[in-house]
Amino acid sequence: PKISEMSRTSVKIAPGAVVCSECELRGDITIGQRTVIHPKARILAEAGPIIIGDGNLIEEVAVIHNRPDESNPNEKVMIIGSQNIFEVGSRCEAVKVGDFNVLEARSFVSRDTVVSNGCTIGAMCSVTGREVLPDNCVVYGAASHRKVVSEKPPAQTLQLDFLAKILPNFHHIKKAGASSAAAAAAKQHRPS
Amino acid sequence: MATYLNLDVVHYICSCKVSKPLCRLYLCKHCFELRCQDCVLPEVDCQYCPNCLDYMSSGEAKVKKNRCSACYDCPSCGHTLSTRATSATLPSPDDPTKQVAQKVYYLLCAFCRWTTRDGGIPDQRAPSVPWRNLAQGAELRQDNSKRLTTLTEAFRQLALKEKAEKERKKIAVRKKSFFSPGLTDRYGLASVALRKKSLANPSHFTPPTVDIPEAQATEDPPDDLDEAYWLPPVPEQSPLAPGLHTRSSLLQRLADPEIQPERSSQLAPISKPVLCKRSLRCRQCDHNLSKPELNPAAPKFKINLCALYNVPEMRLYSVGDGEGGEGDDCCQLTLLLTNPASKPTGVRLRCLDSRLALPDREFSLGPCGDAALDLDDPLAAAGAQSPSSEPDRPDEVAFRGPGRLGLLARLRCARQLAASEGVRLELSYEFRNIVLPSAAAGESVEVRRLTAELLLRPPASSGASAKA
Repeated sequence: PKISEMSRTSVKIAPGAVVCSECELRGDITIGQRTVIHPKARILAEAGPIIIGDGNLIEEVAVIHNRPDESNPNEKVMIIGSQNIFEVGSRCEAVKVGDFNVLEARSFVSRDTVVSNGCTIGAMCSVTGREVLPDNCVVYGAASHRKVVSEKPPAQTLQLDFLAKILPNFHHIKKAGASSAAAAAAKQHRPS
Repeated sequence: MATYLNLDVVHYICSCKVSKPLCRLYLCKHCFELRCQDCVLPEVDCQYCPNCLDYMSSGEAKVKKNRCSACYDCPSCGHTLSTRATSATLPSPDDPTKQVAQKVYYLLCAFCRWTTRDGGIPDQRAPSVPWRNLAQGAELRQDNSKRLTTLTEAFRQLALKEKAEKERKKIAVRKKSFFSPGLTDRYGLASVALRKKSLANPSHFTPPTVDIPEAQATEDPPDDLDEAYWLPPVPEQSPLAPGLHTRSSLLQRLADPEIQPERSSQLAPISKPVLCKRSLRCRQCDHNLSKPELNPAAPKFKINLCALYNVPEMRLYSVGDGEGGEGDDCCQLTLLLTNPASKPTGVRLRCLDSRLALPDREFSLGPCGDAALDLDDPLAAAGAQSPSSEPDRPDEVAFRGPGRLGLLARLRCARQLAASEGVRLELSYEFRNIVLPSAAAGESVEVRRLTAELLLRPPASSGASAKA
């Protein structure tokens, strides 16, 4: 069943998004405007499509995984909002992520958690409970302490602009528009 | 602490009969003995802030209450706060009617994201500002200090009064005839006597008028707790324990005894406590063994008498196979001796409990690695040959290097070693004592013969592998 899903890889990249060719995209993925996806990032839409909003920053070795759930085999759409930052090595399996969140390096959010807006999941912290995180929540420390701060993390527009300029100089970028594995295979067979 | 070397194999015996690895010992060059951490008296040299490396003398630190004036710790998690700038449109200082984009500063903890805005402190126009005084409740703390100063003044006057009373008693004990007008008049000491009398007379002192109210027992029962103490109702969707995030934790409250914040909105930046640089002093002869530079950014020392830099270091280089000889229970060890000095040094190893068969003569170690590179002769620099005239015998010397010597030794009764404390050795070496320049002669180098006791404990596993 997984192989047939892979052949259904279809990625819709909005204009203005910078998606490096070396990232691994599997399944039905929609990527919004001005989103930057670094090489070696992995977006796996196994148990359903993933919709990524605008202005997100997905760094190297980050994994966004719509993982199939044995207890609930229905297809679920994973929706990620805008202006989020998925730092290096972070793993997100949450089905619903809001806006302006920061998942710091090597953090982990499980499928049951709903990440609202402005949350900061600290480095190496894991959030696995079946809950809705409050807005502007900060998870930090070895024991994953929680607190709620008064404002959301700042938007990284400067960083996004810089990356949008620099990454195409060093990496191959996927073209904007709808593409699927079948269309890519057809391109290869066309006589040059 | 993790190290590359196994520090437990070779220990040196300190003058207090405790065995320690050489890296933990100091050599007192006035007593000519090894000293360990317990034989040494630590003293505070100066204080410094671990964040900005600003150093201050002990007197200055006392005035600043052992805190840095510029750095702050996060009240929420304890990490150092960093200053951030944003631009905000504010009325410009020159012309209050115009709105100009200006830089405003606030403090932020990079770890837990606490900001001074969470503590209710408004953003400031200048980056370095006494942030702690801007926190809520600062006025209350200042009230306390006024009261404290009036009380200290009052008690100081009381202390003066008590001291004068003591003086009066002392003078009263002396023979009054010495100050009788008959004698003192002759030498013109009447005025002196009068002055002393008036000083001793307590009537000149008016007791200080400070109102210290009497303690009163309250008869009324205490009021009911303020409604604000009860936690706010649980919001429907909140996963956190009801209102817990508005309360400070116990650790946060105890970290700031001045404010003792109960709510998280009362948390204020904590001035960073300073650390101290210490110097070590030999307890016997009172000379300094280790004195660091004042500047915490400089890793050098003014005086550094670590044993590693003065005493040749012995290490267990390798354990060879048993070579028959006196039965299976025998193995050959290679001991590595390293010269710490930049001149050739003579060393001699002797086994004190006759378990280890060592070559019984003096060996000369070449100068240590850095100094050896300066030598012209490449062979001498590599240290391949013995610097002294005697050639090395292959059954005694395994190898040589710049400042290093590998000695071969045969260990008897290896199996019994695991149960015992170890093999006791004696290392005698030349110590070059640089005597300070005196008036007569210039700087002279005194060469002394010193001995150090060692304890060699080969690790148990090596004994088993040696057998195989």
